[in-house]
Amino acid sequence: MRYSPGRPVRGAPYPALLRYACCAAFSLLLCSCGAGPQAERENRQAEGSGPPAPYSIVFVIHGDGEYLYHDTSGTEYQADEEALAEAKKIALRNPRAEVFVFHQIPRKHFLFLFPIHDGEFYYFRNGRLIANESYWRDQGESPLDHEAALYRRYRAGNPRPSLNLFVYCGHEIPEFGGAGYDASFPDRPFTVRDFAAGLQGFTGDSARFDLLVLSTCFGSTPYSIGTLGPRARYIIASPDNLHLSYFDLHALERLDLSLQDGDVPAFAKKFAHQSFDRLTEDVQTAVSVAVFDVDRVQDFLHSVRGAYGRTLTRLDGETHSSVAAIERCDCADIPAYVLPTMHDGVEVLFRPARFGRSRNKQDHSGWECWKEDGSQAAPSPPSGVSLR
Amino acid sequence: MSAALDIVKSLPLVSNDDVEGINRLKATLQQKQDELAGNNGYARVPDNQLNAFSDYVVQDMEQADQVVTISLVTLLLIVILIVLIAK
Repeated sequence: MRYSPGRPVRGAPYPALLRYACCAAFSLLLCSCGAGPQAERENRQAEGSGPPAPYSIVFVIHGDGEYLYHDTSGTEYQADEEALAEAKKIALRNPRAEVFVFHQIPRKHFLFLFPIHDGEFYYFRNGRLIANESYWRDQGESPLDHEAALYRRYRAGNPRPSLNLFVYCGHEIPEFGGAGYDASFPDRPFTVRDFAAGLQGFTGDSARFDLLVLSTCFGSTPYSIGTLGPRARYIIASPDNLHLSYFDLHALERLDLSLQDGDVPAFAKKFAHQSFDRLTEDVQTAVSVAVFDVDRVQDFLHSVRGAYGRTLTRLDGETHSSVAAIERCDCADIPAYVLPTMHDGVEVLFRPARFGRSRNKQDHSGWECWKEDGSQAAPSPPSGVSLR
Repeated sequence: MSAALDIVKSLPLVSNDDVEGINRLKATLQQKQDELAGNNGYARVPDNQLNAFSDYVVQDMEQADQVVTISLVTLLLIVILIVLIAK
C-alpha cells in the first residue's frame, strides 16, 4: 500500500490495520510453532553425518560485553565478531571434525517489548554447516546450561571423538562475585566455578576435554586452573592481560595435519607458540601464554590452595572498587608461592611490556596472583629508578 | 584532562566508587605522561619509539577496561568539563 498524504483519516482504516496485524501475528505464531526448522535440522544432520569425525571443537564466544580493540593502524575491531568469523573458518577447513560454535550476544527487544534470542548456534561436521539456530541463554540456572543441552542433542548417537577441544573466548572470568559479567544480565553472576559447572554439562561427570583454551585475561591463577582441572587434561591460558583480545586460533585449522598421532601436549605447545608469535608481532603490552599439564600441576596447587583460598576469601568481602584497585602479579613475586613444584607441568612463553614499570621483568612463572598489601610481594622497580 | 578529573571528583553527586575509579585513571595517565616526558625516574621515550609508545598507551587502556570503572553520568561530566576547559 502506498502512502497517500491527501487521504482523509477516518475510523474505517483502523479495523483493517488491526486485521492485518492479527494476520501477521498469527503467521509469526505458526512459523514459530511449526515443525519446519526441526525437520530441516534433522534432514541436514542426517545428510551431513558421513563418516564419524575424529575431532571435536566447541567454541563459546562471549559477546555480551565491551569487546572493542584497535590494531596498530587504528582500525577498530569487535573482538567477538572476529573470533566468530575465525571459528567458522576453522569449522569449514576441517574435513574430519565436528565443530560447535556458540555466540552469546547482548539481549535485545523487538519494538522495545519482545525479547529476541540472545544466542546463536552453529553446528558443522566434516567441513559443512549442518545446523544454525538461535537460542535463549538467559533462562538457565547456570549460564552454560542451554549451550550444553544443544551440544548433547547434536552429539547424541555419535561415537566419542578421539580428540575433544574446548575454546572459550571472553573477558576474564571472575574468581568470586561475578555479577555484571553479562552486560545484558548484570545481576546474574558468572564465576570460574560456574564455568567449571558449565563444562561438566558438556562432558558429563567423569570425562574431560583433552584441551581447554581459555582465551581470556588472567586465566591462569591457581584457583582457576585448580577449579577447571577436573574438566580438562591440558589448559592453555594467559596469566596476564591478553591483548588483541584472543589467542590466535589458526593452529586449529586442518587439525588432521597439525595434530599427528593425537599428540595433545605437542599440539598445545604448538598452539601456544603460534599465539605468542602472533601477539608479539603487534602488541606493545606484556604477552604471556602458559600451557598447563593439569595432572602434573596438582602438587603445586595442593601446596598453595590454603594461601590462595584465604586471599580470595578476604577479597570476596571487599567492595568492587577496592578489588579493582588491587594489582595482579606473578605468583613468583610472592615468597609463599615460590616452591620447588611451581614450574612442574607448566610451559610459559613470556615477553614483558615494551614500556612501563614492568619492562625489565625477564620471565614469568605462568601463575598469576593478587598483590595484596600483606602478601609481601617482591618490590617492583621503584619509580625513582631508571627503567631502561 | 587532569583538571577536569579533579573538578568531577569534587562534585557531590559522584559516588565513592567513581572517585576511586577516577583516581586510578588519573594515576594511569600520570604514569604514561611521566614516561613520555622522562619525569619521576623514567627515562624519556626516544623520538624513534613514539609510535610504539602511542600503541602501548592505547593497548594498555583498552585492556584496562575491567580495572577503571566509572558510571556513565560521571563519564559525561568528565567529557563536558574537558570540552569546556579546552575552549
